[in-house]
Amino acid sequence: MTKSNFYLAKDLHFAGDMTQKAEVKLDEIDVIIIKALLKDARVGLKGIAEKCGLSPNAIHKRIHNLEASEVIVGSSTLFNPKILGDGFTVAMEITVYNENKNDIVDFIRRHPDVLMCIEGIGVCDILAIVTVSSVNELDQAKETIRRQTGVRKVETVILIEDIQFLFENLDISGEGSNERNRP
Amino acid sequence: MKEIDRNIMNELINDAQIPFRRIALKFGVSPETVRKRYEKMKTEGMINQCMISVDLEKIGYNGLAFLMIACKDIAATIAHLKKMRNVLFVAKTTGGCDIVIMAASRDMADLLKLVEGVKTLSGVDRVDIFLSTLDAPFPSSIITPGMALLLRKKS
Repeated sequence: MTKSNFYLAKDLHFAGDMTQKAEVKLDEIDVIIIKALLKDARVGLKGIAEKCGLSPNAIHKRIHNLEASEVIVGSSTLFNPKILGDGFTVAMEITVYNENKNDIVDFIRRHPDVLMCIEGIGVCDILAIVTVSSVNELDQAKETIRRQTGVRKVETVILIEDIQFLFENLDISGEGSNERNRP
Repeated sequence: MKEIDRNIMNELINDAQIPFRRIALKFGVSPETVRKRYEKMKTEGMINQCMISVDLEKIGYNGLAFLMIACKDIAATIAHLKKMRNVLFVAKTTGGCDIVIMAASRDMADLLKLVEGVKTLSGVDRVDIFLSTLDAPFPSSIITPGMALLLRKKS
């Protein structure tokens, strides 16, 4: 992941319509393929092919094109943290002094209990999803992060449910956005 | 946890599409064994999701928003949120808020519409926002190597 020091400049991109990357035009079939692979990366070509009435070969070609245009970039597996025992998942809202932000993000990403780490702006500066097996372990993880230079505050919220992405809600074709967003 | 399961998991973390043949070759078992172990892990709920990563910026998205929501009727609000456009993750929580959601946004207008939509759900008291950019493939860029380390730690 590329890390830039120009957080403010990057955040401003979000406010305006200055998209940095050229948008790749997708048709209906591309959207079906992406959604199927987001739901299950190991789904067979045959299954997708049946869904859109094309040959498995044609689907393979399209997936290859989507990879070539870097719309699809690799894959990953999310395991249930419970496999490691009676664990629970916690969201940590971390507030930092801005000058050390990159170092702190790197430290948190490498911490073995951390499953996800996102930097941004708002109620906190870094949001980390952490899996621990006991309250003691949570306390230890929180303390090690809190003791990092530049960390100002760590707040924890316990997540009751498993992390599961709801990719079916993703409006890839942009149909649901208002008129202004349409090309 | 069996040694072979841990090995399969470590291979799958950063490449959900790796052929079972290759895992089998690496650990000296048959591809059929790998497939069986994988299916077992899946039915037992050890595998939450096997997914490709998508550069959302390339398909018109610009930001990732987390909303921390305080509300009265938690179950009803969660049911609503799970069906909202572009909402990618909903979890009930205890602590400073009742529900945390994650949503992808195309632009500022899109984000404001989402926040307004959540705020107007009946029983929602407060919505706090955390915003992030999408400068890397999702979701692999937010998943840390932590799980792999954890698997090693507990072995």
